[in-house]
Amino acid sequence: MLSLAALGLVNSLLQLYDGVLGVKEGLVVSSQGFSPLTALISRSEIEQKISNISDITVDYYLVTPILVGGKVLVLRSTNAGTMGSDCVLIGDSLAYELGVHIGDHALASSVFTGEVYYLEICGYTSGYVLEAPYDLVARVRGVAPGYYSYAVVRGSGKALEKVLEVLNIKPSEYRLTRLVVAILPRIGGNRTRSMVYHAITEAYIANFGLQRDYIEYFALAVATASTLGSVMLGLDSARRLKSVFRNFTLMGLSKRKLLLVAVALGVVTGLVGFLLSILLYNYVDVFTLRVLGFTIKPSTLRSQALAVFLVLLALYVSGLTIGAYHEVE
Amino acid sequence: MSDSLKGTRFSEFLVTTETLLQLAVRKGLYTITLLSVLAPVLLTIVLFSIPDFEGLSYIYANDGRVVPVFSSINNGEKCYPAVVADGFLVTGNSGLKTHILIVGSEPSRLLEPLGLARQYQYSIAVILPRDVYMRLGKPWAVTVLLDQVSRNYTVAGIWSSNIVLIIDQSLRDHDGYVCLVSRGDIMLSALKDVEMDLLDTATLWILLLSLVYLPIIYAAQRRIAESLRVDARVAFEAGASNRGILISTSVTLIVLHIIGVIHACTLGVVLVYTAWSLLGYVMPLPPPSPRTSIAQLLIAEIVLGAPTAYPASRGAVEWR
Repeated sequence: MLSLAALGLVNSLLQLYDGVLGVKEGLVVSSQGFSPLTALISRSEIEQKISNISDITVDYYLVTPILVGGKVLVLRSTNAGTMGSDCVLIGDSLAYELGVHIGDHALASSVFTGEVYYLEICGYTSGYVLEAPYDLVARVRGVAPGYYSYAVVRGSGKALEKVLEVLNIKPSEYRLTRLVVAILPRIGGNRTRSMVYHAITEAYIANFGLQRDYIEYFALAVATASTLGSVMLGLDSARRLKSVFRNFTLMGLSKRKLLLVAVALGVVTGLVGFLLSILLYNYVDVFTLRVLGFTIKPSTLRSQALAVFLVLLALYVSGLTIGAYHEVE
Repeated sequence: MSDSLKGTRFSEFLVTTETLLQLAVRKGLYTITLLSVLAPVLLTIVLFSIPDFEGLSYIYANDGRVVPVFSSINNGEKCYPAVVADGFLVTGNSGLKTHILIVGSEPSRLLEPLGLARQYQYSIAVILPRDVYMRLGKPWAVTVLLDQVSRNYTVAGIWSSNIVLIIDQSLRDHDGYVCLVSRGDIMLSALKDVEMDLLDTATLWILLLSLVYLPIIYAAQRRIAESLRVDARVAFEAGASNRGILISTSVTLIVLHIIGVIHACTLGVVLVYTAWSLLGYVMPLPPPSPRTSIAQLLIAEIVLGAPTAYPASRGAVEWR
């Protein structure tokens, strides 16, 4: 369970921005920067490139960190109409934590312009973000109209392939999955090649030299290391079953068959242990992380869970078999 | 019990413990202890040596700019009392209702660090939102009507915000403070929060792992105790008491456990620095920074291993 939690938390951390920004599918187009909260793209530049492609919808979003009472929160532009210029929607969990209701107001500070803004709470949205009309977010971010943090392009697979091509990404360089992130060069930069990632966070941590693979290998190493003690448990189980093995030998069971019994026993015990771990892992929320106020829960891939199970099983069965072999000898 | 008898028992205990310890080391039983504590100790060292997040703040250039943050508490000398109110701005024939933030400070203390005005010498000032300034016809002064009291303010500057800022030293009632915080500090505090949260989760994870490893430590100690059974029997035949042997074996197991933890800790430090130097060839990595909480977790690991020593010895080195 601990190994699954470690792997799950790392997976969830790698998808932090997907959760914070609420982007679950599509082609995300952003630019190089410290994070999507600081990166900027030009709407006209993107529209110029994809104007000839049909069957796609493009949503542009501007997000910025904002300080409310010393807390760093995320303010995102919304396309919801009929909102007053000072109006913001507050995420339900954020409203609960701050203890604010519709009609209340808050003073927020922009970390970019150093100005204070009056925000009136006009409604609720989901998650741990604030949402406001684009004009207000642009003022807080300190950018001229037409600049956004990222765009989400949705459409058929073929249409998205065309979009990637016009963004200078060769078809061989990507494989379309649930979410693709294309990172464009900085505005005004002289680099022309775009990059593709499979999670928004992955695209930005790459700027620190941290690749997804390295982080996943590290998590796998931690998960595997935490199961090392299974060998000792296997050896101890064999020692406790000493008299049983001796009885089987007296009943005429060959050494080879006895070892097979030990392996079968190890597999069954390992399987039961793993199933119990899965149950605990799914129903006990012990391990959570909060980043930018967003609560991250572990989410483990099936392949990783299987790998952990196989490692655990191999170690336990090895210990049990070696122990059984020595006890029979 | 006489003092001489107590002294004899104690020296008997010391001799038995020393003999058992030496025998355990000679028989290579120490390896079993090391294996049983290796995973929790190594992972403690590795997880609590991740690079300090403070090092990442270089990405965010600290240009010395400050951000005014409205807070309900006074966080230091750069905090000024403040209140938010609704009022009217009047110039000539035009007027409008607006939200106003009033800060009780000498204007230059706020306007100069915020870059809103240079060398401002008056005792009161108003900063207008750009759109309000345009709507009022770019006035040089405005009359502010608040709670049926009107006062004239010189326009010290404009900003992009949506709230009027009045800086007036004579402010009496306030419902919070406006504090000037440097942008670098904000970034640093956000990074520190993330780091603290990660380390808190890691602490919980490590403590649970150490608890999960208790049966494994017990199994290892039981194995060692059983391997020392013959040697303990010799001590028993030589006249050592059953209880004395039991305590000596438990102490031997605890000492082996402590040495195992320290050994695994050393291996962990070597592993972390070796991995850092090797990975440094592949990618730019900030140096590992071992946290002081490692010591607390290692002490917890040692303390958790001690209670299993006595039950592990019982039965293995007891005779009737």
